[in-house]
Amino acid sequence: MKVSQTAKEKTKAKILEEAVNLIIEKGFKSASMREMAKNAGVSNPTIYNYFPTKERILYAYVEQKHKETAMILQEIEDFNTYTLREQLQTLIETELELYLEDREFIMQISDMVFHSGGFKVDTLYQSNELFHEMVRDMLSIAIEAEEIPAPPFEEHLPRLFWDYYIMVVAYWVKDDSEMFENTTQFVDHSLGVIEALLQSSILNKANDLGMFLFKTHLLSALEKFSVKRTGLKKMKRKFGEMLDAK
Amino acid sequence: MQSKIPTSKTSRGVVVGKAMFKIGVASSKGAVKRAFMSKENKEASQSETHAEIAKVIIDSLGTLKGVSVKIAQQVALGLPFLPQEYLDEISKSFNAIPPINKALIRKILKQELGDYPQKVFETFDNDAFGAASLGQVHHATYNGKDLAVKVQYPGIATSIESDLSVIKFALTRFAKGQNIDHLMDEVEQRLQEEVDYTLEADNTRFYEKNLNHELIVVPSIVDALSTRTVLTSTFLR
Repeated sequence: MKVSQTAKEKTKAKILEEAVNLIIEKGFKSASMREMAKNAGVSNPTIYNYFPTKERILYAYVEQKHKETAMILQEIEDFNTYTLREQLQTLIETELELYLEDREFIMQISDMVFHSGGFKVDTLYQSNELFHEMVRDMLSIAIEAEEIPAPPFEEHLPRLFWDYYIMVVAYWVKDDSEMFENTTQFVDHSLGVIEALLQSSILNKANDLGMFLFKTHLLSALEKFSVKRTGLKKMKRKFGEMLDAK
Repeated sequence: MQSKIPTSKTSRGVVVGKAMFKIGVASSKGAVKRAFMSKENKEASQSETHAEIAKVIIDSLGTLKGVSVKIAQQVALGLPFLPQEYLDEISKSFNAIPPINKALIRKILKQELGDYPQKVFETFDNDAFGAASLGQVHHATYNGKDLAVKVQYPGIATSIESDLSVIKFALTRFAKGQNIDHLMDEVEQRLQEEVDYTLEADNTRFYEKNLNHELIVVPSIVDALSTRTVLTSTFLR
């Protein structure tokens, strides 16, 4: 029997939901795939078809939240009238809001990431394509609309923003203020900083300074300490000859 | 973009500390000048120094925003020992409240009313048409009715206490030995009342019910769309 794509998605979502509940109840380590399968009403082999490892469930969870966030953002009719900062802030707030119902699950994951070291956050990067894409879109539109000058390393900024987001989640997990209003303010303030950085030419200037220092000092220092000193010198001489010849 | 409200007590302390330093400079400048002046000139210079100090204090309160603006208002009403120059500066600061951006409005309304503004209301204007005490007011429509939705800045209620202790420290210097504790208690009580919009809703309902005068129209509160930090009423033109 051929299982339709929507049926597959449905089963996957069901497993994910039950897995999150079980992990909240028993902890990530003690929650078994067998029990997750049982709770979701699928057979033991079936669950492995969807999630070969328990970690995969985490990635799928993060990916799922990105998808839901993207859908919510798409529904905002006047989203194009938002400033870059407002768009980024809405992205973060929406993700956090979706995390709220599984807060205990996120707390466990956060513990694993930041304290026991049992789980590496960079492995999450694979499931972040959608998040990166959303940030990349917002950035490129803001650059095109001349809201911000084109920043250096533009292609790496979505990744950096994800790292910032992880920091926000870590703050949120520890936040015990009413309605998590401290996190709200933390996001508001820190995005103010990010906005100011992006709007100013500081990033570009810092990049210029870095490149200058690298070219004039670091390269010569490298030359000094390099084991392949003679090789480098030769290259330099050759380069000099080339310039002289011009 | 607008500068943001400093939240933690330390950051607020820094702002006030900076102001205190500036006051020191302004006062001593005046003192040095006055030593070489005639009596009339002395009085004029004194008042100049007061105006300068007042500006420094209000500037720093302006940086704190939100609650501090309220405190400035309360202080203006409640502390008689302040020279006129201070009161003048204070009255200028009444509208110095920063806007809440679209992302925050969305978040606050979702949190308070259960859904995003565009879903709760038929229309919702993201741009505020007015600054209210400790928040801002948006125009919206619901069931064909024109509404005014007042939204409070997040974290205002919790920052009252830390703000007040900082302000109290700053004001003690000007109280010249007078006890200002009871005044500060009074200010705190008024502020706590003011950040709770349910009280304002109760009061509005009271007046709506009991005021019968053809020239006075009281807006009706929309209960279903009002909470402690969001107040929705009919919009009067």
